[in-house]
Parts: sequence; C-alpha cells; structure tokens
Amino acid sequence: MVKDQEYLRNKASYCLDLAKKLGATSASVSVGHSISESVSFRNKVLDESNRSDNLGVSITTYIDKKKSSISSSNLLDENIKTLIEKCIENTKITPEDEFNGLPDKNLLVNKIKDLDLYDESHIENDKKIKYLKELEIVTSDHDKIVNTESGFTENKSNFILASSDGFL
Amino acid sequence: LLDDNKIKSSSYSSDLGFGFRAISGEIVAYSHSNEISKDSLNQSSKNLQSTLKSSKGTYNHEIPKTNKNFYNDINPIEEKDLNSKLEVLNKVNNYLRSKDSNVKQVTSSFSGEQKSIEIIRLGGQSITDVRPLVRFNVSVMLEKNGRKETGVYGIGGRQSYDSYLDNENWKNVCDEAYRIASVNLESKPAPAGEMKVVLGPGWPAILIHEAIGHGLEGDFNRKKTSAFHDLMGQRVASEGVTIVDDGTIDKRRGSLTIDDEGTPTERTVLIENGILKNFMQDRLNARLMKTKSTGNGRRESYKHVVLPRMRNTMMLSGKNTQDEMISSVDKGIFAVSFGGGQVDITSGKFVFNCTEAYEIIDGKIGSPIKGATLIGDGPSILKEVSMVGNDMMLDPGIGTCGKAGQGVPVGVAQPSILIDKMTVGGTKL
Repeated sequence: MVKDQEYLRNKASYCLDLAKKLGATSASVSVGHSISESVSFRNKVLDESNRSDNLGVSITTYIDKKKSSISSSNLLDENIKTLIEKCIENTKITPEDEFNGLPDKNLLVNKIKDLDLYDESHIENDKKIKYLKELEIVTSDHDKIVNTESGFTENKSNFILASSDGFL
Repeated sequence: LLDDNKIKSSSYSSDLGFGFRAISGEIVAYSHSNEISKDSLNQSSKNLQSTLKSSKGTYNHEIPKTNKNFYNDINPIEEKDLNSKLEVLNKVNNYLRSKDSNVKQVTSSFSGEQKSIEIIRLGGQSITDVRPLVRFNVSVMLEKNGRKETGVYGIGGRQSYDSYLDNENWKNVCDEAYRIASVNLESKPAPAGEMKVVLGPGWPAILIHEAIGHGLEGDFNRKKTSAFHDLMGQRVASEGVTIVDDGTIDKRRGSLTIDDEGTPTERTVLIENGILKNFMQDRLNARLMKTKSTGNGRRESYKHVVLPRMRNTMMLSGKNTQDEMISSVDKGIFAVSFGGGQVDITSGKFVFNCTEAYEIIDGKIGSPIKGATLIGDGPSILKEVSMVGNDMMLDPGIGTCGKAGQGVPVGVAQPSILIDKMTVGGTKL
C-alpha cells in the first residue's frame, strides 16, 4: 500500500516547520511514495520480476535570495533534522541570486480539483504471471512469430508538494 | 555548480535502502525498498516467493575472499567543507576569465559521493565495501569575430577532493578546457567519406567500450544477441589488438574492490592478439554459461538488478608511434576526443561526434575540423586496425556507462590506433 495523504502531509509540515525554526526565510518540500511491481516473460518462459518501493523527500531552503537543496530516502525525523540543518548551513554560504525564491503566491492554484485517478484495485503477482503465460502461449501459436517478450507492470504513487507560504 | 559568474546551486542527498534478489535457473526475482522495516522485508519476500514458488534452485558456490583494496575508506563529502569548494570554483572562474578577453562563459562544478554497500548471501556470508568517488568539471566558451566555441574537460576518480583541489591540478583542467575551445575556434568544416582515421590515446577508447565492450558482456552472449556470441576462440580483431577489462587499477573511476555480488574484481583478458578469449560475467550468466564470474556484476544502486557491466576497459599498447601512424596517412583525420554519440550496444553500430579533431594531409596534421562524426560498427572496425601505438593512456576519469536504465562509473584507456577504413560524416565533400 502506498502511504496515504495524511502521512505525506505530516512529513511535509514537519519539514517546513523545522526549516523555518532553523533559520530559513522560506522553504518548499515534496514528499512522495511509489510502489511498482512488474513481471516479464521471454519466449514463453518467466524471465524476471521486479518490485520497487520508493519513499523520498526533497527540501529546498531559502534565506532571502540564497538557496540550497537536499533530498533523502530516509524519512525518520532524526535524519530529516540532520539534513535540514545541513541544508540551512549550505544556504547561508551560498551566494545570492536575484531569481531565487518561491513562486508568486498569487499565481498558485488555490483549489485543486480531484480527478479521481487513484485505482484501489491490486493485481497479485501470481495473476500477472498467469495473464502473461496465457498471452505468450496464444502469441506463439502464430507461425511467423519467432521471438516473444512481454511484460506486466503495476504502479501506484502518491506525492505532496508544499511550501512555507501556505501551498499544500 | 558555478555558472555565469555565480554559484548557481549546491545540493546534498542521502539514500538508504535494500535490494532483495532471488534466482532460480534463468529467472531473476528482485525487490527493493528504501524503508528498512520488517513489514517491507516481508512484502519483498512475498513478492520473490510468488515469482519463484514453482522453481527449484541449487545453492551457488562460495564467493572468493579478498583483502586487497583499490581505494581508501574515505568520505569525500565530509572531508572538505562547502566553503573550500566554492573558493576553488571562484578561482577557476577568475583564472579563466583573466586568461583571455575572448572567454565569455565559464561553468564549473564539483561532485562527490560515498557509497557503502553490504552484500548478505544465503548462509550468512556478509561482504562490505566503501566506495568514494569525486568529479571536477570545467566548461569554457570563447567568442571571436562572432563565432562561439566551447571546450569541456573534467577529471575524477575514487579519491579525496584534496587530490583535485590542488592548485596545479585545477589549473591543468582549466588550461585543457581553454585549449580545446581555442582549437575549435580555428576549426573548418570536416571532410566526409570513407578514409583512414587515427584515434588519439585515452578517452577515444570510449568507442571501444561502446562498440565492442558491450558486445562482450555475458548477458548478450548467453541470449545470443551479441555479434560475438559464437566467436569464442576465433579471430575477431587484427593481430596486435589486445583488450582487457580491469577492475583492479588503484583509485580509478571504474575500479572496484568487489563487484556488486561480492566477487573480487580482476583483470579479464577479453581479446588477446585479435583472438576472443573471454566474456565479462556476473554470477548468473557465468553459471548459465558454465564458466566463472569475472567480477563484472554491477548495478547503479540497491534499486537496480545486477548485470554484467564493464569496469576499466582498455586496449593495451602496441609497438608503433603516433608519428608513424600520421605519416602513413595521405588523407584522413586525427580524432583526439569525442563528445556525444549513439550506439546499438548489441550490434556495435555507432555514430560518435568528435569534439577535437584534425585533418591529416600527406602524412601531416593539418587544420582542426569541426562537426566530424565517426560512423561504423565495432566488430568491423576491430579488423581494420593496422597500427597500435606504444602510448597507452588512461582517460581522465569521467565516464558513466548506461545500460538498461542504469548508470555506473567506468574507465577507458587505449594507445593511439590507426584504422584503415572508417566512414567520416562531415559537411565538406
């Protein structure tokens, strides 16, 4: 199961609050989680399966027109604190750039439409293998086909973008 | 990163995770996660079981052990503070801009990483490795009489930043980038057609890596998709051509104490005096091809499955001098460095763009040329090598090899070589 919105929102809020507390004048954060499962066949034989579970955070801190970024896959609060401290430290000594800063608040979307894209259903690995097996057998029946490769991938992801000027 | 007289950005990232691999026969089941928890490990285990449940495997033999280290256990990121790096980037900018009023743009960057890996095998065997890697890059753009040309040069390896921040070292990198841009500022359109080509020593070996090296990787040969799969023991290159893949050169970008399956790396002879001797193998492909792993099992990170990949791929020195090669060419080109290109890694068909090249006329190096591309296929080119130089040189430590969506650091090396027939794509007929 991918992490729900509440988990991601809590992590994002924790990062933004901490960045401000440690000296950032503004900050932005993205937290994301994705799970992907794939199976592949080659010439009617199961070739490989892959499962990928990725959780990650990336934070940009600003001190006026100075900017620095960090990213990590370790979302434990203690690790995030160490990383934000490092990020602020780096921001302080990075030269100013007039183009650095958060986007104009007035240009940001304030109502996000729910497109209802998330599909709750899950196809187990066994079923993926079964479907591909049938597919490969049917395909191999054709005389002119001398080589077959097929794959089945399922991917679910969830992410949050947030900034210290209230965008979430 | 410094660009346009300013430090543009600094970034830091840390990543932690596990990859869980199970193999049965030819089937590879892989699962990875960056959440190290019991729940996550259970999910991964469940996924592997559902793939391999009906398969029966045998316990593979033990991995040989090694006490040799080809780099030190250091963390380049922590050993130098950000201020020292910014100071050098600013010095680079000032040095190049004060060199010539034609310098219009300078871009320079440092990057460093430390990768710690632990491989745990069935039976409890644990093998660890700590891998440092740094890279320093300079790009300079010159403008003269309305014409703009860029020179790019970089260095790197499994060392500390100190080796690169040294005064003489960064100045040499700046001077080389400036020299390449200056040469290109005077270049004229490249000739086109089939002709003799002299490749310079060092980085041009990227052509060997791409057009020949990939074709010698175990997976492509096991699946019989490589042009070399049925040529073991046969002549595949001219006499005098010896190509090795070596993971044991001290502190080189492509070197590894152990590969990503825990096998100690070695110096693998791929082609000896033109005869095909070995393929590069990971454990899976070695077992299926009834041979041993050559320590070439590599992956970008725990997020990727292990594949047979190159380390430092090198053509060894021969007997000829570069002067002998140049003086033997009536009409051809001398290619010193390459930029981008495209390669079909199984057939070895390639197109490479030269970033520094010269015409050769009547046995002498002539004007620099611009826009030359080298076109051909690796297996054919190997048979067209008529002279191998005595000046083998390692590349400066900048290569990253891409395969199946994974990038791994690699090295290349070669002496000057003369290729009797190659298609050159240019604009001057």
